[in-house]
Amino acid sequence: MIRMSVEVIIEAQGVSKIYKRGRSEFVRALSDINLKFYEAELIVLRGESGSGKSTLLNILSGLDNPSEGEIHFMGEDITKFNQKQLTELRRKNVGFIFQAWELIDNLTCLENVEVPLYPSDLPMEKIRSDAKELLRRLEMHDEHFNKFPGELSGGQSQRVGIARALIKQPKVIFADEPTANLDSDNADIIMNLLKRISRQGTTVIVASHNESLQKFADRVIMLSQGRMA
Amino acid sequence: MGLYRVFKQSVRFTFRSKKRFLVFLLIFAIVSAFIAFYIDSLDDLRTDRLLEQKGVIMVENAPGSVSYAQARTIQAEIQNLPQSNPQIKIQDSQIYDYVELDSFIRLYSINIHKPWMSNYVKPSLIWDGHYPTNANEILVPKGAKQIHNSTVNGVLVESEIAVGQKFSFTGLNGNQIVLTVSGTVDVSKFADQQQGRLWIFADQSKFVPIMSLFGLTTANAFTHNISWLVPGTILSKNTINLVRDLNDAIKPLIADANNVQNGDWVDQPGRLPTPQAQNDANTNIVNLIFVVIGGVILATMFAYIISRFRRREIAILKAMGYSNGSVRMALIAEILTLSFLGFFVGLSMAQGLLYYIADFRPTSLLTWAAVGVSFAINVIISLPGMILASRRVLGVSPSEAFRDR
Repeated sequence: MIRMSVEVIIEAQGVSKIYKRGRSEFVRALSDINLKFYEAELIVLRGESGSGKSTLLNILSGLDNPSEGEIHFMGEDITKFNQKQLTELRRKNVGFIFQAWELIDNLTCLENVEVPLYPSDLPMEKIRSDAKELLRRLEMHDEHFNKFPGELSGGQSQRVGIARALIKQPKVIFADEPTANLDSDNADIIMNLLKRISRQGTTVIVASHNESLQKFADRVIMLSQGRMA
Repeated sequence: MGLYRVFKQSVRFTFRSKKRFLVFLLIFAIVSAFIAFYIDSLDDLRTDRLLEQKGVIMVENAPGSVSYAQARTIQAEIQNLPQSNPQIKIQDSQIYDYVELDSFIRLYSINIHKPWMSNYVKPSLIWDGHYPTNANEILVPKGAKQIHNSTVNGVLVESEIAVGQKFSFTGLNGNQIVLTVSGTVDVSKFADQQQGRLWIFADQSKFVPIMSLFGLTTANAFTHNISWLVPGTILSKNTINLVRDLNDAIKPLIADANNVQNGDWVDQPGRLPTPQAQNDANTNIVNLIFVVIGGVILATMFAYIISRFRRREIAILKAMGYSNGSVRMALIAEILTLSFLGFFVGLSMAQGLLYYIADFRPTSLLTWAAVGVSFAINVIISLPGMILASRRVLGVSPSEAFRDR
């Protein structure tokens, strides 16, 4: 595949992850992963449970450090970042979508989308208008804005989760099993939304064991026992 | 701006979790109520009930028999006691005189700057209004009869016996003294209370001038009682022993005064710091310590609960890019909101309790000192919880957001 003019957003070089289990046992969760993720593509990391896809997602997003290797995020090796730099990276460039959407129960749909920007210096009016616009773009109706997560369906909740990830206009969105709690119709809707988001310039990296998501992907990376298959 | 917004929004969102909010609000309120109540009771001991706790009071035994001059002789004799007995030190003494202006009006002197030294007319006995704050204010008994424009010994007395009303004396020479009724006082503790006679309690600086209007002098006045204050800590056993020693030393002087002069005095041993009063004070302090310790435990438990059970929420916020400081601010906002609201609800509860205990007397208000000290204790109580919450925030990794529930 020729990608002459497309920017590399994340590059994993020789990444391995070894966990210590018990007193003396070590488990190799990832082995020698070399990958590049480009701007505006949707990648599906596929593998069975325990294949290392969540570990890789954590390492690529800077939530965890590899035991070996480097992760270059927009050219900078984030494995050498301190906590403050990693927080800054997550605040500006990374969005997360969770399997169980993980919305905050006592916040409305609109407030859940606004939350990531509360610590920013943006005026509240701007945050609110951006949140509304995003929700509308994700086909959420205005009457849902003031509903609490308990009053939303699974598909609606995940849209709120996507809007929350998008509000910071991140370079990359990491989605961990984003359709696992949805029926197939809603799963397709969510994947189409993620596809649309990637087309607008955001790199979307989806970790899933679900084979049916492959059809939405620009690339599929298969993981098995911590290695690229 | 960002941190302020996190704080503000977190305060708003605290009210959303209704069940948790109400449960902890109630807990904080009860703790705060007891703290305010016990602090107020200690404040009473410090000021209003001071003399009862560490003083000696000598009271005239036969009304009208102890002269103004004789009282001063007795006072001087007792003041000299420390020279003969170094163990007994007197911090202060105060004479309370009275004079019959006529058969309808009796004038008492009080010292508005030492309200707690009078065991009869003191702030805790104020029923309505307030204790005089300047020499132009007077107290009258609760339920006193009204006198309208009466002429007494040639002096025109114009009065309205109600808080805030003027009370004026105009002498034959046209001299006038105008006083304001600042409050009414419950004088049921006076053993020699006489119905039908109007009592007026004025600052001692007005005692002689008012008498003069009626053509009276100190020769016409008598002394109701003299109070001696013994220095020391109210709750100290040593203070109690000093008071007892002083009382024992005064007894022969009283006998001497009663025999040699024309007075008839009796000391008031019943008003010494009694074991009951001592126990009450000790119990209040022990209760306060338990409530404060309980408050620390509850506030810390609350902080533990919100940081423990919201670990995943903290991880999600961190994954979104919240710094430790921002997450800490969100938790502290919640802890502060509940403890402050709890404090104010608790104050209302303490005030209610105080009213109830004081038979719904309008003036039984928590003192500002008690409110201030209670507030400071509440802040101190919240600190360990806030430190615990802060430390727990540091220990939450954003990767926990991806862990299976």
